[in-house]
Amino acid sequence: MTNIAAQLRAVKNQPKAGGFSVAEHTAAKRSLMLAIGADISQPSAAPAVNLKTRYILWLSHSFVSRPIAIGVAGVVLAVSGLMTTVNAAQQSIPGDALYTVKLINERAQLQLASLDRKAVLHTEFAERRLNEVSQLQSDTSGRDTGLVAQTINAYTQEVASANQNLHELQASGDSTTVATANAVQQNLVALDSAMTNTVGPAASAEESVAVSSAQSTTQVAQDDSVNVAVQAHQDVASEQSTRELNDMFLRQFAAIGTRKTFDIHRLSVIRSLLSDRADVLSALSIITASDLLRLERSVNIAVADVAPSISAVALGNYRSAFDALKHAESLLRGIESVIADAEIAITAALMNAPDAAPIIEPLVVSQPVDPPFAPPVQ
Amino acid sequence: MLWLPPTTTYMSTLREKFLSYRVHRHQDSVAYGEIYDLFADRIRRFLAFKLPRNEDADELTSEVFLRGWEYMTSGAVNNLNAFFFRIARNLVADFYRKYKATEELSYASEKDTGQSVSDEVATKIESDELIESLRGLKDEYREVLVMRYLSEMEVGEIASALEKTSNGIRVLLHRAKKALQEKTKL
Repeated sequence: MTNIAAQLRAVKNQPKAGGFSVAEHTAAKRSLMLAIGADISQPSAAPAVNLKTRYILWLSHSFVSRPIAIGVAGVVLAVSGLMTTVNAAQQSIPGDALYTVKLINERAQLQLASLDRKAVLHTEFAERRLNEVSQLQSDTSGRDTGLVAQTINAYTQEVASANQNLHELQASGDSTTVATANAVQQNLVALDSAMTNTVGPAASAEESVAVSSAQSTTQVAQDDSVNVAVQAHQDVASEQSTRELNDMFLRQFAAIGTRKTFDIHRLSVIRSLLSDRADVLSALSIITASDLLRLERSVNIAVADVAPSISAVALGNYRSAFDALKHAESLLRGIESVIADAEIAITAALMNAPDAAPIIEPLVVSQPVDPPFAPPVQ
Repeated sequence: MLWLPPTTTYMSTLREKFLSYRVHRHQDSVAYGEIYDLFADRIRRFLAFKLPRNEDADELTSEVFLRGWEYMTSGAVNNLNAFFFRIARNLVADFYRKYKATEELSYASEKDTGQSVSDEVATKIESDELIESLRGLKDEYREVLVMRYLSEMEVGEIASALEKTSNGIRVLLHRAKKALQEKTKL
């Protein structure tokens, strides 16, 4: 067998074996080149070198530039697809398919953030949770009813994490502690009022437990953020920390003033209702005119206590200044809960009255209801 | 290029791809000249064993490459080997369609004179006998033997040229060698 193969190989250059001789090959090639219109008068060396260069360029194009371009395009497509998904996920609420993507995105942001940024991020995420709660409550597509309580608990968790990050930041002695505490405190105040205004009434016992836990956690975190700021300033005072603390104080101080004005206004509305609708209200003895006077005086006293805190700030005694603000705030909170009770009772009485006139302006309950108010003893 | 399989077959396929691309996109006659150098000899042999006279083989070989140029400049070609052999087979079929009608007699006389010329040297007689026995084999046996041992093509190349599997070609080669051996012993 191999013999046959060897014999065949041996005769391959015989004229009868069908192959071209070199001369025949060259001649045939030449006539072919003429037939296809090639310019064969050119020296053959130049185009050959040219073709070799082109081959190398072609190879690099096929195996380097094109794969790289395709790879880059693939990465761009993948990333833009991911970005689209992540953006779409921002609008999702608990129970949606993309909600997990939203949470993963948040965790990723936290992983990448520094400690000071983390604390602020947690309060921002807490705000998202609150928005989700109000969306869930207005949602009618028949989602799992347990989701509301779960989301409120997630909110509480975010606030607690923000608070914890703030403490860690203080423990690390970071120079941004005061500024961060200021930002966190500002967000927490906004969250506190958002919780009252956007979250609807609890639909189950589970939800009301979650809400009260969320409220107390927010309150504790607010107090803690002030404490952290003051403490950090006492540890290492700087121009920046002074400015941040002043900013924090002025904001709270202004908020107390606004609340005072608002509460006085509410009391005067009640007073005018008592005299206008005495026919209905006097028999019920919800609140008397002298009660109203007493409450008004309490508001003024509570706020008056705040005035000296300005001089405390001027002296750098932030601790006592914030304590005074906190004291006034808790007094106002108690007074407001009494006012709110009276407003609710009056509204109910007027609506049940035989000639019930439409309530022109709804009475706003702006603060959470706290334990019963004990007026300060004069 | 380290990650490429280090086989020469792969590199030559790559080279053919490049030349084919040059011809297709740039009507590069120099590149087509390289293609001619790569394939002309095996096509010539293939035709020489299919056709009665060497002149016919020469004529059809140039016709194969003229048609190849026309096709390649108008459309992309993936497998040059299979491409040229397909053109060659079609031309052979065309040739015999015309030939049977007109030139049967002249073929017989040409064949006779062709043999008588090579009767001079003893070694030449031996080799001529081998080639004649090869001519006497049936078509598919002769094709693979010519491609494998005279054109020295790889089994994979023969498979692509004849549009068959490599295993099929190996089996065919084995049987063809057996057949030729029996023929030469007689």
